[in-house]
This record gives sequence, structure tokens and C-alpha cells, in this order.
Amino acid sequence: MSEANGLREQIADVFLRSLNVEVPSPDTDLFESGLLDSLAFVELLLAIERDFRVTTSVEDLEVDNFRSVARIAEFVTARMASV
Amino acid sequence: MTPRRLQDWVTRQAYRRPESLAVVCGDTRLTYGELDTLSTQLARLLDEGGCRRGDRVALLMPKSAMAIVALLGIYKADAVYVPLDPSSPASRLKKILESCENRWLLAAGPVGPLLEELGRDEEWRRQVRIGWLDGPPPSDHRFDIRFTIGDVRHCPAVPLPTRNGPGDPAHILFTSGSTGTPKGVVITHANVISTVEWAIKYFSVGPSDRLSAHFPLHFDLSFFDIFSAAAVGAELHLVPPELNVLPGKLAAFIRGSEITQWFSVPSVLSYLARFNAAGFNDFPALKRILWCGEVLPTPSLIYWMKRLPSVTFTNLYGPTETTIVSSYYTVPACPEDPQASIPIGVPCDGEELLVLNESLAPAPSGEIGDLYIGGTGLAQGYWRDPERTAAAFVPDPRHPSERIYKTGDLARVGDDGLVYFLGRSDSQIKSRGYRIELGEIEAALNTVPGVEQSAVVALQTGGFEGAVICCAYVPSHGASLTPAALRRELGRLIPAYMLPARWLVAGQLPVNANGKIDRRRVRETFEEGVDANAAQTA
Repeated sequence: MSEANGLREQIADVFLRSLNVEVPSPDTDLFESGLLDSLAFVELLLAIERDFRVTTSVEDLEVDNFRSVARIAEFVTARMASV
Repeated sequence: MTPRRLQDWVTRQAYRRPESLAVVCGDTRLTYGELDTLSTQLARLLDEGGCRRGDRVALLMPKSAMAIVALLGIYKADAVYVPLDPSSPASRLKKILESCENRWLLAAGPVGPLLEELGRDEEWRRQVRIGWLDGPPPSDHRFDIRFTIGDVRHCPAVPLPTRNGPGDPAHILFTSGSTGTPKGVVITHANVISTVEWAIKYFSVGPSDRLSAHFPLHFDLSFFDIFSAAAVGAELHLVPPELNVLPGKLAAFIRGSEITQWFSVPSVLSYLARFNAAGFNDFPALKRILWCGEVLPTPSLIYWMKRLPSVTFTNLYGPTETTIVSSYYTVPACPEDPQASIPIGVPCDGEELLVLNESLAPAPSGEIGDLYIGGTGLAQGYWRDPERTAAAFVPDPRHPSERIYKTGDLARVGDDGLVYFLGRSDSQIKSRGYRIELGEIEAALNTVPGVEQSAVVALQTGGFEGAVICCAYVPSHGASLTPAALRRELGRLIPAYMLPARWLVAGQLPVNANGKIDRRRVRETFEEGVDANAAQTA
């Protein structure tokens, strides 16, 4: 549990450092709240690939994988496990 | 036959082919018969509720089949359609609503929090009448909800007698204003009809076409798709906005919906190219790709022309003030040189492109000048703003009784007789198709407590996003204001697409000899920063 929270914090930190975006909570809907658009999305993908050493492909780009910080953390965990 | 009003096209299709599919949005499908009936019913309810000819009716809802019904219903009530961006902050929407003196709002979807914020102004809340067109209406009983979608469906579908003609306003579209207040461009039925008639003829659009509707409804380019489809009885396929970040899904949409004509801002095409989302000869139904709103980078065009050799590619150009598009250029063959510039081409029927020097005489061929547009697309002007209207819509030096519009774009006419776009003469920029006045961002920054001084500049990146907005600021003495906190505050004042992507906190900003902020040096600082980042990742 604490490991998951740690990852969520790291991802919230990516938003803050790479995008200057404060995400109110791990469950905030990033698309509906307008925090994530196509420009920010590309920067986010690059930052995640760089910081967590995972790779993403077109097939991974499901809305639900990126809807919230919590979902991104789950996605990164799954990708890290599959490497 | 040229219709008198935009809605007449839909009524004509409802008579000719009532069972044909008109609008597709996810699982929702409306035939031309249903589209015509529902919009007639809506117009009746607006009329019964006291909506009168020329009244402004705002639309605040996500892009949906019901939104298309709403815009037609507003026209049928002889009213003026004012589409609002539901992702815009309430403070900005309020400026638009106040300027239009809207007494009617058609709304649906997740706009409850926005309404609640707008409704804090008690006087506005008391005055505005709301038609709720989809889903459960807000439970706040202090709002005057006059009808819901259920009432629309039960209303008799008897057309109202309408008095509007071609020269009456159809809609008011708000664009970024350099002083911080959005400008409303007043567009007539005849303005749109003329552009659409050119388009369906030039592109040979027919009833078997399936047109994409990618633009948000507050963009004037959305009218191109909606009424090209209605004019010929084609299908309009609304592209869900959330696909915009998902290249694979967006490509699957084009494939699965068998889109025959795709029209979007260039950044979408470049975004798909960047993820290599299209295969060779992908999208077998696709006949045409059109883009407008900003420059499509030539490498992206080369990608697409190599991927889809049997598709035709057309660059469209035109500001909102001259209605949708004013010129076009169909690329004859795949450019070999990725540096080659793609012209904005030649005027559409009824339009005129003029490259003039400072004394309003034609600039010699090859020389840079200011781009003016004349002809049938010219808007009536800016809503209740005679000063700005007079500054931008100037007398035609050849026929002083007629007007030409000063676009603010710089251009030249090439030896080939084609017009080439060369940039802006002011601080307006395009980012992902959005037209943004940097002055509007600075005006908003000046109202945030804790900001002593700020400068907003744009960097051309050459990437898919066009210009990147950068903000350098000096916090007030003793204030600690991080970029993230400032971004959050700014997000309450301007839409997300205007928010700067890069930030710099400075002790002071560079000034020039006149004591003004030296924006060129601010821009250079950001450019160096970009280079430093590039060096780091390399």
C-alpha cells in the first residue's frame, strides 16, 4: 500500500515538475478537469518513460490508463513488472 | 438552389431523404427527419418561453447530436446562436454572457459546476432561462429551468413562421481579445452559405460522403462540416474530444466510421504522424484531408502524402472575421523538400485576397505586405464594438463604399500567383489551432495577486503543437508564488489552452531603451532554456 502511495506521489511530482500542474488528488479526472490535453499528454509520456524507465506504445494509450494519477500509477506498475 | 437561411438545408434534406443518417455521435444517431423535427420542437419551446427574433441564445454543452439540434432550433426561432466553450473558466464565460445580454441558455452534460459558479451572480441567475437538453438538470431550484429534453419531444412539431433572411445574424463567435475581453464576431446566414456552397462544389461533396466533425462547436470551422453535410444530405460524424490524446483510437475512428473527408487543425495530423498511427494506404474510404487554423509542418504533410497516396490534401486558410475559409490550395504532389513552404493559395469563390503595403496599394509580386480579405465572407463586425470594427474592417481603397478586413497576417504573392503566409504583424499566435492573443494572458496575469511583473511570449517549436506559450514573471516583494500555484490561479481566468507551458521565475525582467519589457530578450532566454534541455536529453 505504501509503495503504491509512493508511486502516486512520484507521478504527482512529475506533473508538478514537468508540466507545472498541481493535481488536487490521485483520483482527479485529468481529462474532465482539463489538466491533461494533447500537448501536456506528450510531455507526460516522455517524462514517465524517462523517470520510470518504461516504454509506451500506441496500443497502451487507453484513456482509462491515464484518467487519474492513481490509474497512471497502476499502469506504470504493470509496465515495470512486464519488463 | 441557394437557401435563404442555414436551417433551410436541413429542412430540405428532411423532405428529400428523411430516413438518411444526418448526425452520428457515439451510440446516438439522428436522421435528417429527426434532426428537423427535434429542432422545430425546440424552436417552438424557445418561442413559447418568450425568446424573440434577434435574442442571443447561448449553448453550454459538450459536442453532441443534441448540440446540433440546439443550434438549428436557435436558428429556427430567429435567434442568434452563441456557442460557449464548456472547458472555459466561469469568469471568462461571464464576460461573454454579459456582453451578449443572454436571457437564454441551452445546456446539458457536466456543466453543473460552471452553472453554479455563474449563478453566484444573483441577478444573472434570476434573468437567465435555461433549456436542459440531456441528462438530469441541476437540482438547484434557484435556476429557472424552463424545459427539459422530455418537453422538447412532446412539443408539437409545427414550424414557426420565421422572418430572418440571408443578411440576418446567425451566430456570434468569441475569439481572444488582446485587452483581456473576448471579441464577438457577428456572422450572417449568407456569410456561411456562401462559403459552404463553394466547398461542396469544389470538393464535390455528395450524399454518400461521411464527414468528420472534429472542431469544437465554438470554432467557426465547425460550421464547415455541419453545413457541408446538411447542404448535400451527407453523414456528419462527431469526433469525441477525448480521442484527441489517443492517436491509435483516433485512427481507429477514421477507419471504423469510414470517414471520406477529414478536416482538422494541423496539430492533430502531426500528432497522429508522430505516433505513426496510420499504415500504408490506411483508411480505404478516405478521399480528402483538409486542414486549417495554422501552418501544417511540411514534414508532417510528407508523412501523410506518402502514407495515403490516393487521398487529396488541401490547405485552407481564413480568419473567423471572414467566415470559415477564404482561400485554398490543393497540394499537387508530395513535396520533396521538407523545408518547402505550402501556400495558402487562391481565394474561394466570392472572396478576394489582397497583399497591400502601408499605403494600401498592392505590394509588388514577391514582396511582403499586409494581408486583407474582401468579399462575401466579411462579417458584420465585432459585437457592440464599433471602434474595433472600424479599425479592422476598413474601406476598400478601390471602392470606398465597400469594406476589406485587415487580417493582421503578413503575406506575399509568389511568381506562381499564389499567396504565401509569412507570419503575424502583432502578438496573436496559434497554438493547436486556437487563436490566442498573448495580451489576453498578460491581462489575466496582471489581476493575480502576488505577480509584480510578467511577460508572455511564444516560441515556435516546429513540433506538432505549433507555438509554445512561455511566461516569465517577477513575484511581488515578499510573496512566494510557484509556477504551479500561478498556473492554478490563472486557470480560473483563462481557458486551459491559453495557459503557459513553460515558466520562469525571475528577480527582474529585461527592459529595452524605452523602459518597456524587452520581449525579444525574454524569448531568447526561453530559447536558450529549450536548447539546454535538448542538450541534456541528447
